[in-house]
Amino acid sequence: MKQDSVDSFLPLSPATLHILLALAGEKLHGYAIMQEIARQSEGRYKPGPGILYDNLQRLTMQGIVAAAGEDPEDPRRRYYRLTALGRRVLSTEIARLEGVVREARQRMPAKAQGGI
Amino acid sequence: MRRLYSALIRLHPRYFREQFGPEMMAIFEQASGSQGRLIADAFASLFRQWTCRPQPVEAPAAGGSLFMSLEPYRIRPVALVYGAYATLALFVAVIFLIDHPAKTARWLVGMERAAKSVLPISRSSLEGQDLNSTVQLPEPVVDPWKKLAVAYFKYLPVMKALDTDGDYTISGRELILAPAALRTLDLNHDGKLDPWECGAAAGSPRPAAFIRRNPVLAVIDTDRNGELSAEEIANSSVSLQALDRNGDGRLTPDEYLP
Repeated sequence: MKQDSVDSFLPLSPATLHILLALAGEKLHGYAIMQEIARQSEGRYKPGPGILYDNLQRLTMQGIVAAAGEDPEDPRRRYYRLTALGRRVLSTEIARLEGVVREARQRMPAKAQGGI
Repeated sequence: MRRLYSALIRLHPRYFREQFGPEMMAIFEQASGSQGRLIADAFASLFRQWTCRPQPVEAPAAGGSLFMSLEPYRIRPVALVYGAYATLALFVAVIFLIDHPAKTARWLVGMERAAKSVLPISRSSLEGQDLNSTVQLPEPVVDPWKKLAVAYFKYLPVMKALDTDGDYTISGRELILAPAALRTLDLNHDGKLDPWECGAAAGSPRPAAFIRRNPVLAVIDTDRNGELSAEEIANSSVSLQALDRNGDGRLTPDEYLP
């Protein structure tokens, strides 16, 4: 897989980044993705279903996320998972963000960094 | 609340509703504590899906369609708005080009000069007929005052500044705008016009006489000090009316020429 094709998706929007992070561990259905995002962001970011499925539709078309079957308990629910491309996009974005944090630590004085 | 949310889901575009509608309803039923927020989210989603997201073209009915789109998506409503803006801009540009043929003669071939007719002429029907005819053109009317005014305008830039429509007559509207027109000649921005700014030659030995020789400048220079002060420029609309001898509210060449 070419690096250029991965770079064309970057930088990710906050909603996309949170969705990919939520799906990084295991396959999840929509409501579980929303809960996982709220947990990861400590309740500061709670996307509604409209935003979630708008992003899932785009990510599915781009081949970053794929459907992973229905919930046997409630067939209306559908599971989603990261594809190989999705994992590569997420890891590249995390590497990019690490670079941003490293640059911020070098430029900002220790006092101003606070919790960084 | 559930009915309202269900109705909002049904109002979404078909491709989105069929793919995600049941899942959104399942989330609504599960998240019972924040239904108000979910309804607000559904309204926002409704707007977003109809206006900002491309919608796939539905399969044509049996027998095929007359038109085929190269793109797999319908045109977004927002794209239609952009297209309307682009069309309006093009329309305005074409109207501008047609309205200013002198400036655009190089591009609009045939706008100023009549082109030769491309209609076929049957010459056989004209054989044997006397085609000689005499056309009498009226004598061109030459206005002597206008010829003098053209030369005077080249000599005195103040006149060109005052006559904004270029008809060699200072109309009532141009008299009202006289102060603003005169201020455009103030090259050194000192608020007043000296004889050189009014058009006196650079090496003129008596620049003040230049002001007195030209009636338009002379009537504005009320204190006769050989230059037009800021106050005199401000009052020029009234001062210039002293030259309107026939009282028709405008200055014609026979009134402003020396």
